[in-house]
Amino acid sequence: MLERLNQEDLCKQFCADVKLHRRTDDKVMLETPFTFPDGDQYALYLEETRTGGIRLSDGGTTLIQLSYENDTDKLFEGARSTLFEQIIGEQGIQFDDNSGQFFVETNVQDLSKAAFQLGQAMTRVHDLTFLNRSRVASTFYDDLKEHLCDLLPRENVKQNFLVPGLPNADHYPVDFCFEGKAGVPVFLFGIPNRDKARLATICLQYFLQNQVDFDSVLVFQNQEEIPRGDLSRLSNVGGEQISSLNAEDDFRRKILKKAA
Amino acid sequence: MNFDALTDKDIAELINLEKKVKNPGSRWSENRGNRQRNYNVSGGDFLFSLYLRQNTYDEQHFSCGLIVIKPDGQKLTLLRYNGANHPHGEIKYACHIHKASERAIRERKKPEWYAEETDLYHTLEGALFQMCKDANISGLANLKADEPDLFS
Repeated sequence: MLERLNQEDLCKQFCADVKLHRRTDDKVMLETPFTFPDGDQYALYLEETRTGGIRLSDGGTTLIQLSYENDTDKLFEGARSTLFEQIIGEQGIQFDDNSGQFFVETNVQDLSKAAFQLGQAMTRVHDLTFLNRSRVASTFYDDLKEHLCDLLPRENVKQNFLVPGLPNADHYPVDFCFEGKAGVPVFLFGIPNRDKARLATICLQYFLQNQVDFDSVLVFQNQEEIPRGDLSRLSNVGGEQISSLNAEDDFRRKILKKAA
Repeated sequence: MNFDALTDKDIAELINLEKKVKNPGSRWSENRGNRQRNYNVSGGDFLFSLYLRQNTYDEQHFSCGLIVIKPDGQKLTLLRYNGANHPHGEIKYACHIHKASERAIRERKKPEWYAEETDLYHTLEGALFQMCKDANISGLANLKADEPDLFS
């Protein structure tokens, strides 16, 4: 198969998916197969530079695309900002903070290389949305479950547990429940952020008000990120605390100490 | 409604639900080449977000979208009315409407992955008029349909 593959055919295949589109308003677009996750193809704009070269840019479309479901200002803060700068450096492109455009200045001979550079950068910038709080929280629960099931038989770990006989129990689900010593159930809450700390506080208070017999464990994604007031209220109603999933020895010791 | 496995019927129900903009006085803001305006919308037991985006570099790059806020706080785009600045599959540089579908969800794509070409609007203002009409949204004054585009 591979011996039948030749450079010319390969080039034709690549070229078939790349086209120029000249608009009536004189803008020139480069059509490529690159797409955003919603199926929209990348809008790539070609312009002549004053020095006779070519400027290939996204026209600011990447940030607008991200802004539909995200706060794009967060790309320019903290850890995301570091990754953002890293992408720009590694892909050899530039970013204009005023226009929000990613671009490459190149020449006709190197245009295809520039298109790959810019396309890859746009994809990587878009993928920074994987760092969204809700998505990170979701992977935190997956990791928490794996850690728990490494220590306890999987069939003994009940996820999204509803306390039997409790009024409106479906409003107060427990992340994980397993059997504790002396037959008392252990309710384990994962706390990836402040919102969840507050929700766990409400749930635990409700269980106490309704005289539910239980023990509890709170596992934080990063306890240091929970504001003091929220942490204090949660500590008043919750039991054993584990500061993060990285505290593996603590996690093992505290879970095994509680489990039947 | 099970937001993890929305059916086309659920999606149609969400789109057709009577809705009202809660903050019609929301202002435009401009940041990094993007003029944007966001409205909070309520309907039935659900919260929605209606957004407008206009690229300042390319007039043809605009979007008007309707998002439903899922019970877990995540956002799901039900509709997005796009301008003509980019292709979408077989749709080549023409205005198109993205709509969430059971098919896209089943295929593990973004819910609004599928889109259809339209000539019902050619500006952001026209897209907003059309979306409010199609998604039963009230509360915004001075909505205006686009005149037919005689040059396309």
